[in-house]
Amino acid sequence: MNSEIKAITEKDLWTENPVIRQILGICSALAVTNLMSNTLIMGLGVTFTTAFSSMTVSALRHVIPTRIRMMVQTLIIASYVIIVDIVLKAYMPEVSANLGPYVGLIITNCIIMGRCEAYGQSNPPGLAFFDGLMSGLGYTMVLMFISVIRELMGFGTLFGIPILGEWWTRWTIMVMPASAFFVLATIIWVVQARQSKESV
Amino acid sequence: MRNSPMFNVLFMLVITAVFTGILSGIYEITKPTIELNEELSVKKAHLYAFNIDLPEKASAEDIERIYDDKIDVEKIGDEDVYVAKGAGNQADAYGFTFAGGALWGEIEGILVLTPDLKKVVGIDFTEQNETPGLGGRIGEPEFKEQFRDVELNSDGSPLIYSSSTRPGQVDAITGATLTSNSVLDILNNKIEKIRISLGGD
Repeated sequence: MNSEIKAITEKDLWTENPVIRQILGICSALAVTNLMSNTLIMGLGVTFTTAFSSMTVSALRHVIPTRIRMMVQTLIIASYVIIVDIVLKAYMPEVSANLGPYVGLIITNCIIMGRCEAYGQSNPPGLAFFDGLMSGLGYTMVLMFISVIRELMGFGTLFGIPILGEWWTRWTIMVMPASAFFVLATIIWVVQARQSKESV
Repeated sequence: MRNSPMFNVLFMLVITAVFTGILSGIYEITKPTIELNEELSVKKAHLYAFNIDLPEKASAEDIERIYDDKIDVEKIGDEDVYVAKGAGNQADAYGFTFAGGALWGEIEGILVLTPDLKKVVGIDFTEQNETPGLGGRIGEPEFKEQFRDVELNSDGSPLIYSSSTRPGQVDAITGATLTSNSVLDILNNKIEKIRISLGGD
């Protein structure tokens, strides 16, 4: 059990990181990473949804008919996303207004269904929950890294707190979604170079 | 049995009913809070546009009280017009709600004018889904504050952005041309309409 948990952590955060190694969840990695506070909430939303969806799929894995399992998974994922949306609207209205349509779009994040299919389907609920949690955190980690670079260069701030001062010329390109492509590609390049060295 | 079509259909029906049931439950529980939040954010936006200061850390009750105290709703034609009453029950300012399409979706908000309709008191947005960090910045004070006490042009477009070739009253947002232009078009159209229906006095 313990070795399993260790293996999951290492895989989801590093060796098989959903964004860097599996290139999943890219759309939101481009869309929400220009402000760190939005990125953090998005990451937490995805982590919550992935963990609970995977756990629910796992708990129902002996009952769900194989042929319609994808429909059932979509239903489960959609339910958790709506819960996130409602909770944000009720208790964090300003964050909800900032994220706008992105919260609803959590459902299109491929990581969630990917984990349900690849892990939740064939493992017990506790481990499935942990796997979802770690995948979500692996995703959040990469997105936060991108958003540090984008917010710092695009606005001169981190979490909205001015860091670089007035002399800094804001890079508008860093605010636009396109810049996330460059930043993400660079990160993938550096990480893969390191990982291939490790594996030799 | 598990793979028979009937079972699949039944299973899907049952599980959908269960999950929708749970969601409706959560929705019902949080509905009053969500509605209150939405109402409060609209009231806050209106107070901001009317340039009525709120005390720091105003509670929901404070906002309700100040709003009810300062702002009335009157029906002019088929439109709700918000009126701020000053000393001697005379109208200080009129607020008109506006709506229109922008880059990603509908923008809604309130435009407050002086009683002679020649000056803007303030504007605020109650609904907008523009790109966060670019067009979304129309919701930031730096953009909205520009509209305070702006004199409207009496001929041509009432509001114009400053550019290198001619001076205007307000600055557009760099990198968000489409959103900026939509906002100005919506406002100018609204002012035109207000002038036609109320103008002359």
